[in-house]
Amino acid sequence: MSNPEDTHTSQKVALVTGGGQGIGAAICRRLARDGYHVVVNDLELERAEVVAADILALGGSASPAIADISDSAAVDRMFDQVEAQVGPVTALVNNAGIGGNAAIRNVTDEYWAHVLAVDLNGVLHCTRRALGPMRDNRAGSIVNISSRAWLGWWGQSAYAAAKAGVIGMTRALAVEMSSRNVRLNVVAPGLIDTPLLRNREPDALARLLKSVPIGRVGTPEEVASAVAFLSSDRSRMVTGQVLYVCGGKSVYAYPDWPDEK
Amino acid sequence: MRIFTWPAELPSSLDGFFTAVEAGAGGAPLVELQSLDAFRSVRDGDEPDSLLIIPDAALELGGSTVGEVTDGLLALATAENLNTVVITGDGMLGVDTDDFADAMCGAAAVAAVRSIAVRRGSTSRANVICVPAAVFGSEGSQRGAIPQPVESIDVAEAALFFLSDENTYLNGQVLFVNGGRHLFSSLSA
Repeated sequence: MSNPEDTHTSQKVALVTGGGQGIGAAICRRLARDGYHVVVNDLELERAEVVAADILALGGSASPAIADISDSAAVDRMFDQVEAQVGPVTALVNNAGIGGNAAIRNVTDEYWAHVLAVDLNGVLHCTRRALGPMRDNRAGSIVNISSRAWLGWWGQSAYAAAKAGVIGMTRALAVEMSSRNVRLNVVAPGLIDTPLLRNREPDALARLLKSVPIGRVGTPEEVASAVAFLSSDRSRMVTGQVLYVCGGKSVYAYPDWPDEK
Repeated sequence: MRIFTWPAELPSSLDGFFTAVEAGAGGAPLVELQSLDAFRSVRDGDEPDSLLIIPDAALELGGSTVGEVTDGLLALATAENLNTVVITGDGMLGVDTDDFADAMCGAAAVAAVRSIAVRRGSTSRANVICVPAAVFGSEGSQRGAIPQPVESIDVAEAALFFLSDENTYLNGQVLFVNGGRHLFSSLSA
């Protein structure tokens, strides 16, 4: 579904994992608007095709790519294909992840391993593969989507551990890659208007909103705007940053204290 | 929407900063403030406005003291419908020079902005851009992980990012435009 006219190797190529829905889809559309050929990665082909078709309909350039990011061999194959079709990835956005809300008594070994396999190992697999050409070409940007939840919240022990791991990995690699003109940054969203959030009970959402100083949920487009800034040369002296897109919740989120369960 | 700016004069190291902001701000007029204290009297009413201040520039040029800056920041705490962007040194991470006053000014700015972000978040927002002190013409190391120096255009791009209507969910953030210098400090995530 790529536009053959745009497949020369000097073009900007963005790969967005989990790009088939929610925040990832908004990131894909935004980066396409900014002139990237966008590779829309997802687990499901149909979702990736829909987003890529939307971008093409708006005059942009995009193609779908299927891979389970928790499988490093599948990730390597996806990058091989992308490089053959449209050239090396110049901007990687590690957005794919799984949520989850589990009190510690429900955090089984299997649950813990699954969350870390996708939310942390998946970021490693894509980052490691993308950094090869970026390092050789001395150019590139990686934005990893973490979460405000890494600071701590009820029921988030596995998710927070994975998202904290993403921040540690990003900061370490920001140092390691700094002399190679490759930058790595983190966007940490707070409460964002996604289907997952809309499915919450109204009372639960109202309670959550009390912890957001701005008093509303954010939009996927607002997260995408932060990703676009950190991916671009507008932020050429920014690396290892953790930028919270959270309405101020990261500053001090006064909770509506839940009852002990 | 207007963009109030202070101080009117910047060190030569920031040449081109206001020009770049004006060019990128989509026609919003820049209004120079003669002092931070003057803001409340110059701004009539509570129409949505932006405020872009660079306290360290005033300190560097000798036009203000740390006390005057903190008094001015305190006066901002009650402002409604205001998008505040403060550009300050990254000395709040700890300095290895004798610029303690600049470091303390930056720490005060960060604390003020974060408090405004929480306390006034229902109508206003506020964010900080932290840069190496060399951006204000101070002596001392500016070397970050990225070997190139920070230039005024880098600071202007960050300011435009926070001023943009696309980014109204950013509130209380500290953006380090310092080539990754903050990565070597624990106060940075």
